[in-house]
Amino acid sequence: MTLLQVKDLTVEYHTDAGIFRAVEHLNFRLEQGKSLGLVGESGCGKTTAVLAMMRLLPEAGRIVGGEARLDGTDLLRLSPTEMREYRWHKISMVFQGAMNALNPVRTVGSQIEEPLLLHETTPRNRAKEEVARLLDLVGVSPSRANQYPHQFSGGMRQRAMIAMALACRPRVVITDEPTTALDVMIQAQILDLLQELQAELNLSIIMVTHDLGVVAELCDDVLVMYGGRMAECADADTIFNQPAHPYTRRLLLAFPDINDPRAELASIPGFPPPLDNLPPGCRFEPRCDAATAACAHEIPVDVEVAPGHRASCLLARPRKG
Amino acid sequence: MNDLVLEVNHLRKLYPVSQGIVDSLRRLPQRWVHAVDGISFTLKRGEILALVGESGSGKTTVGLCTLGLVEPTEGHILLQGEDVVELVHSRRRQELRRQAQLIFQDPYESLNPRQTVLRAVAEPLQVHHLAAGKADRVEKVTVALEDAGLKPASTFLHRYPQQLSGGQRQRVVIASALVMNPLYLVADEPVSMLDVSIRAEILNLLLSLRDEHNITMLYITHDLASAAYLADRVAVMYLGVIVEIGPADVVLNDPRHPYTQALMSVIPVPNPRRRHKRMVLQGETPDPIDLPSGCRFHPRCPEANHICSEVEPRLEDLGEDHQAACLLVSGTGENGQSAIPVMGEKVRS
Repeated sequence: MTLLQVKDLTVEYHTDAGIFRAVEHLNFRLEQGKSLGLVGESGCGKTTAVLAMMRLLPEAGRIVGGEARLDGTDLLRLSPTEMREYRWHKISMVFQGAMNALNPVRTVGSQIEEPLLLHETTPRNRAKEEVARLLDLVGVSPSRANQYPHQFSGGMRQRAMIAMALACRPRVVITDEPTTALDVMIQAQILDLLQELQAELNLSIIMVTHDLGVVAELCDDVLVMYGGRMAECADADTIFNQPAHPYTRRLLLAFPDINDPRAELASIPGFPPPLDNLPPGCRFEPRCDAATAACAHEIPVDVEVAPGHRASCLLARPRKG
Repeated sequence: MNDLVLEVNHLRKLYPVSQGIVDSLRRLPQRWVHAVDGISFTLKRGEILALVGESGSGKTTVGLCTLGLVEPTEGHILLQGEDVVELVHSRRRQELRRQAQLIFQDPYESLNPRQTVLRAVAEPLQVHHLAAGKADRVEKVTVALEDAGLKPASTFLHRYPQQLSGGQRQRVVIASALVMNPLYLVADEPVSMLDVSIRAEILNLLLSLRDEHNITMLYITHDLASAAYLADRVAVMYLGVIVEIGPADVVLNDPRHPYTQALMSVIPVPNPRRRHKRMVLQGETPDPIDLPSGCRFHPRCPEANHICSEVEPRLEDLGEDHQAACLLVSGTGENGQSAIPVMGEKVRS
């Protein structure tokens, strides 16, 4: 069952220097109980896209089109008051940088308690109990609720952030680079935790990351973004084994594989396009080794390579058989 | 012998734990952080050794000791046969500073935002009086930038760090190490702050520097996958000691220490078809102040038995230049010894 469906999402930043389109005509769906990986290099618009859904864009950000239907309700059309009912209750987020996202002068427990009280899901006299339950759920001893963030290690802070996101029992949790600043072993612990929580609570997860390995380990479906647009979208197995977009193929070549350590790594030459100077045709054309003359001026449309597998590339063709 | 660029013998580095006034009035004994607790290794000319471990394993301290930036508590470090600590205290300190260079982790913070690329890379030349005039300086900086892959260098000379991407900044940092023509380079997590797509180009750059300039490198990382790609040999550290060391291919094909095995199992594999059981160690690396008795890894080791909390394992030869420090791994090499004789020698109370 589709829980969240995003159609034609377009987001702009209106700044003194001009108007920049950070996300353009983005389409995807998130199934109940599944996880979707949102992948791409820095600056490809993945965080902007999820902040737009949460209606937490910075002041300069404007949603200029599209819809994001959560269980039939379009989040983008809700008034700020209505959205406040949805945020944390139905859709919540674990923000990037667990190290810095907690308030250093308040105890961890009181910060987890805050959404419970604000949203009145829990009566005040039961809040402490609920905080203990949440900490236990994410593998932190409830006795540490009265400690401050600096007394927590990086991995524990990330767990506390996850507890906070789960406080009002949302159906969708967005995690933005949940493991990027963590050591490998702690990263594995957090990935295990997310997997357990997903199964236990039937959560749907959107995981924003540039780490393809994390996506391969955890996600059911993958959306690859480039320059604010979708490059490719399919189930994880297809993305990693039958990629149709040259950008996806190049990303895979740049990622080291412990099972094949001597395979040559090839980085992608050049940089993602700056938002104030986007190429007129396909946004990946300047860096694409397969580009043809048409790619420089023709904007690619989504090609259905196979059922459930879309690629936005002029060279993509439906797969036979 | 000439072939050995770096020799580290029984290196230890302890840091005192600062005591509060109450503790010192009560005359509590001074406590120590065992950052590095007795490690030895060598590096041949043109060799890349990866020092792999989690935060707090002591890998950065080892790197800083080999550069003479941190003075060891015990042990010796020889750079081309000369004692690094003695060099630091002698008039030839400048020579050491020229030969041994460091690449930092975060290219966003290791460059001065108010210095142009030219000034940043030329600064070491000025400090060491290595350039005869401005033209020579620009010439040397140009060569270093091009060696670091910033071509054509003239388009980068007068830019500021904020006008560069993360990958380009890291190349500038590498160029300012290269401009000194170093013999030995310590790269401390040089790619962990970069996007995955850029990591590959920096790793390939480091490989080409070794191939073209024969630079000897210590690559410090927590990522075994990049270590496997870059390094000739791998040393895995845990709580201040090396638990396994050997040629990269051998260690990765046949990891013998349970900690190395766990580290390998948790590396994300970029293909959902190869999803496998992760051997996730619970908890976190213990405090390096009060070390566990016996094998330091035993409280988290999935295979530990009663002996492990009593006996401290030593590195045992496993053949093929491969060593591991685990009581449950028996040696197979010529000098290999089983764990049993070690017991009598080194039982800790």
